[in-house]
Amino acid sequence: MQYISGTSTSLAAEVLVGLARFRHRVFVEMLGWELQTRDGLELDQFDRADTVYVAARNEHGAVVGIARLLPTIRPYLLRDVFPQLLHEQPLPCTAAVWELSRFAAVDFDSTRTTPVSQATAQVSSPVAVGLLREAMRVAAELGAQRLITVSPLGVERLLRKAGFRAHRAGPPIVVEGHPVFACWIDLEPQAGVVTH
Amino acid sequence: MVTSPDGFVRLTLDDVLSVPFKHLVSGIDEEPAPLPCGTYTTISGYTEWVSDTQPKITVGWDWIIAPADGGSHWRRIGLPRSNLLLVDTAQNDYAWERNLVVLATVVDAIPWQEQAKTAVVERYAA
Repeated sequence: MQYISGTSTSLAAEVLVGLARFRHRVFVEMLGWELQTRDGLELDQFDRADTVYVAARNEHGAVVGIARLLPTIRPYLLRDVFPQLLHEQPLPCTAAVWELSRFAAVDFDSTRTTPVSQATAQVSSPVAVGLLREAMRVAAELGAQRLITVSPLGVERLLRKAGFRAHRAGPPIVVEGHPVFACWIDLEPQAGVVTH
Repeated sequence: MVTSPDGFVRLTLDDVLSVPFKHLVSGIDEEPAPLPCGTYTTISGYTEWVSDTQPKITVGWDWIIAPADGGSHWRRIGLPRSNLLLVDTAQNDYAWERNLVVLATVVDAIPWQEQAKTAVVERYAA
């Protein structure tokens, strides 16, 4: 497995196109999310020059995982689209908190005939744990101490099962029939809380 | 009651025991774990509860319908998930695992089964 990371200015154009196409396959074609697309590519207003991408590629060079990191000192998904998930709590706005979004790890070769749930499709492939660890490493290098993410409810269960320390930022809200919530993912152990 | 900068609502156990929780949403697992031949078919899912306080305390857990006494009953499986971190009377954080174990005893005291069952039936009967 090869991990790559960078921004739209540091990654090659063909890599960026491959990431956008992978996102289209996962989020639009497989999960049915209603997202803005163009020519089979999924990109939105949060794909900017300072957006950091982390991707996993298999031995054939095919994209099998994607993660997007946004600093909370600039516009991000939770702040601009899902602020209600914080239930009137202050929205993070600090260089120490980055948002993880568009996270998915799917090997289409191995899942072609197996229907998967929304949460499973995003985080339960064999690539997912490694990709999340890589995204956490990259975020830490950028100065992040914690990640926050908007996720389907099932992701929380899978994060715990995989050994990540994560906790919800507020109650879930049902969006298009699926409970979603804002989730904190710690990058560093905190006083009084044991990592498991 | 406030949310800490790390996103946790910190309360003592006594404080938590005085907080009423109401049902938010329940659902059935889309992909139950495969079972060996010859075992009972099981139905599992999740249930979510929330406080009326500000900030809101959220707690959710998984359940399974288990055979019992010729019938069946709904019981919690695994530890809860929450934004709540218990503190002792000196305001020291519980260790994470202990926090979840104690919180599990709190949710087990909630008569959640009937409301979860009603919610699941209404949601999936449509």
